[in-house]
This record gives sequence, C-alpha cells and structure tokens, in this order.
Amino acid sequence: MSKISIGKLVAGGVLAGVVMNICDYISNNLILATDWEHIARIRNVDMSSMTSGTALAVYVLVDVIFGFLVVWTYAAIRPRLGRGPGTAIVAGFMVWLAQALLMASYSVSFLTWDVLIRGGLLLLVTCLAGALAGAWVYSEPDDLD
Amino acid sequence: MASINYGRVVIGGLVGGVVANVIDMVANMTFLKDDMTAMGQKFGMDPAAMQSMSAAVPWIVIDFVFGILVVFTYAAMRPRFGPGPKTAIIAGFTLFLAVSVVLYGFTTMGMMSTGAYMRGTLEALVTTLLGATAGAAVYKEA
Repeated sequence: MSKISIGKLVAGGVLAGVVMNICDYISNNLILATDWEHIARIRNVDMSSMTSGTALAVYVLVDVIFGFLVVWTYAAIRPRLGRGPGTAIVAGFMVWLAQALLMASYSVSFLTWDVLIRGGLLLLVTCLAGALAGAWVYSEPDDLD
Repeated sequence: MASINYGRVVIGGLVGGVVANVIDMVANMTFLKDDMTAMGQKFGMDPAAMQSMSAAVPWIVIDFVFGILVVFTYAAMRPRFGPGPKTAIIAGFTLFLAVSVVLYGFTTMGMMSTGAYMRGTLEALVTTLLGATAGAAVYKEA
C-alpha cells in the first residue's frame, strides 16, 4: 500500500476548501441570513461581530481547514473502503457528524432546533460536496486508471 | 482484509462514550463551571434549567454517539495506519479538529470568550483522545 500523497492532499484540500466556502456562503448569507439575525438578537450577540472582516476571514479559514480534513479523512480510510465517490461520501459524512453533534450539544443554549436542523442539513451538503471535489483530485502513485 | 466489525464498533463506542461522559461531567462541575455559568447568563438562560436532567440528557447521548463515531473512524483508518493506540489518537484528533474548528467559528461570532474556548478545547482534546484510546482497546477484528 502506498503512503498518503501529501501533494495531492494539499491540492484536494484546497479545492474542497473552495467548494465548501462557496456552499457556506450560499447557506449562511442567502438561505440562513435571517435565522442568524434572529439568533444574534435572542442570544445577545452583537451582529456586527458576526459579520466583521475578522469573522469573515475566520469563516474562510475554517472552511479551508475543513477541506483539508475531509480529504485527509478520505485518504486515511481509502485502504479500508476503496477509492471513489462512495468513500468520499463516507469521509464527508464522518466529518459532518462530528460537527453536527457539537452543534446539537449547543442547541439547548446557543442555537434553536429549527436552525440546528436546517443548518445541519446545509452543512451536510457542504461536507459532501467538499469531500467529493477533494477526493476527485486526490490520487496515489499505485492507482491504476 | 477483514471488514469492519460493527459489533465491536458499537461496544468500543459505548466504552469510549462512558469515558467521555465521566471526563465531561467532572470538567463541567469543576474548571469549566464558571465558563458555563457565564455563557448561560449571556444567553439569558435559567440556571436551574441548565443544570436539569433534561439539559444533561442530550449531552450524555451525544457523547455516546461521538464515541461510536470515533471507534468507527479508528476501524476505518486501521488498514492505513495499523492497529493500536497511535491510530486511535489519529482518529480521535481528526474528529477533535472538526469539532474545535466549528467551536472557534462560534467563538468568533461572540458565543464565548477566547479563554473559555481554550479551556473547553483542551478539555475536548483530552476527552476525545482518551475516549478514542479506550474504545480502540476494545475494538477487534477477526
């Protein structure tokens, strides 16, 4: 079995990060925008801190890290589950489930159930899209095409 | 290569969940207590409701589901990195990173202070790695 290809991991991670940023932008700025305003209002959170340049830079960076994480997970589980979109979906689902469980644990305090469910489903789409894109780029030397 | 032993994933996950629940309970009643209280006040929550059993149940269930996820991740990564605690730590750290990065995003949104984030993240790292190691110790393949 060949080792994880670091160069392809970086390339796949960057692509996955770009895809996840696009998905998150659509999710949070178009679909969930009014929900986040509602959360900020009922939880005494300053809306300007959620939309500041620093916050936006963090959101972009977070998605790039997620991009690397889903492709890393895909590469790590490939010997067990085989290469291809099926394994990419499993990798994306694993990363999503960890995040969704964290979000669920804060549903009683920070989020509302409505935002948790809709935000969680949109996050699933983001993770799966990122994983599929990143896995499409990722390959190893002994892959036979 | 043997396929994933799902029975052992569940058993290992439950063991990991017990470990995670014990560490979480101790941490939330000791060095994270002030952070939890401050967060409850910020969000305008009833302190009695925060300490009620109905508030604790989701956390307990989530720790068990997370335990199963960690052991599944360990099982899935085993052919790549080999059996043993090193792979358990890699599996645990991968999921810890997914969680801590989301939490950092929440911190940027003003949900908690940076100090509370650092303490909570450190506790999550310990919980995840110990839970993963315990769960992986139980996991076996044919």
